[in-house]
Amino acid sequence: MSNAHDDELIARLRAGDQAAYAQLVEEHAGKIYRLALRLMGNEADAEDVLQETFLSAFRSIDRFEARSSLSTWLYRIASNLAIDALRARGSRDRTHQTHLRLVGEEEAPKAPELLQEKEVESIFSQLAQILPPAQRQAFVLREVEGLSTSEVAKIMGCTETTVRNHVFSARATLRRELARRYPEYLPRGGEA
Amino acid sequence: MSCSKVRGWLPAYLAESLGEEERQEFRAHVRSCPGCRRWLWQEDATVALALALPATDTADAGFVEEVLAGIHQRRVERALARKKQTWRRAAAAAAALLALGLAYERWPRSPRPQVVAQPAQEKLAPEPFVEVEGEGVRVYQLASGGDARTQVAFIVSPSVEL
Repeated sequence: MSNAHDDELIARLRAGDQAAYAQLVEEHAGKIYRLALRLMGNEADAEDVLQETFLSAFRSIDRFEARSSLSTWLYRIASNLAIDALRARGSRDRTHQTHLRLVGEEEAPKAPELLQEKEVESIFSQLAQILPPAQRQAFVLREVEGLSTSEVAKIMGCTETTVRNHVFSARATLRRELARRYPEYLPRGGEA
Repeated sequence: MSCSKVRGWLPAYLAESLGEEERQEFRAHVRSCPGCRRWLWQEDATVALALALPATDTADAGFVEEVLAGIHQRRVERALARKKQTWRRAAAAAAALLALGLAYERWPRSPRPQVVAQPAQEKLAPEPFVEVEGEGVRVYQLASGGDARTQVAFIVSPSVEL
């Protein structure tokens, strides 16, 4: 999205143009929802984060300083809201997620590249629950959404080195969890 | 973009040292090439898993409408909650004022100076007068207003020690 496009949309939002609010949602809701879903791990919480993200953006549009794109700004709001919610939720769900895998274990394993998108979403959602919030945030933004290290650092409010360290730690944890819960998806029967 | 070139980028990708442009090419290629997807699951399942997640937006018209409706609903709920809160605050302030007023009324405090109607002061009685006769002393106190009946006399004898 060009800067000129962002600038024009921001000016209309600041002027209280209702159509601009709808346009902002239309252009960004899909990406923000996807991010929220991967951070939160369930649709209800992701919807909460999505709606709160836009409410917060509408409220604070006057304070937006255009040092990043609108999209990065919305990512920052959404991921911070999600991380706050995850921290509030604490570790209660981790035990629950472990149980979910045990229930589904009877299904015949499938070659990983043949997994349907829904199945991949489900596996990722279960594995991601084990990651501490900051690692999850860094991994989702960098590895799943494909943002640059500097964008992720801006969103998370930390250095690029910290982002890289979170990504390395997240990969190590996910590899270990994959080996434990889904050894069939790793080469040579579970070796990561 | 050749598969071998992309595959050669994996060590740098994993070390987070691949340039951003090459990184985006790597990601796009793996997503679109079944052979490289299969290869990546063998090489690094975490990166393969991340790239296997759907990248397309889910924002069709119905979805956007739902989101807008949800946002509107939240705004209305918050506006109502704020109104309720304002009323609650006003009621609490009124109750506090009332309680303060009652407490003030009942608070024990030093009696207020009271203005009591005083009867008009009577004419002062005339000064007593003393008569000395021999060794005896008579002290007379006459009643005021010329009331001779209430005349009082003290007779003091110097032989009596006071």
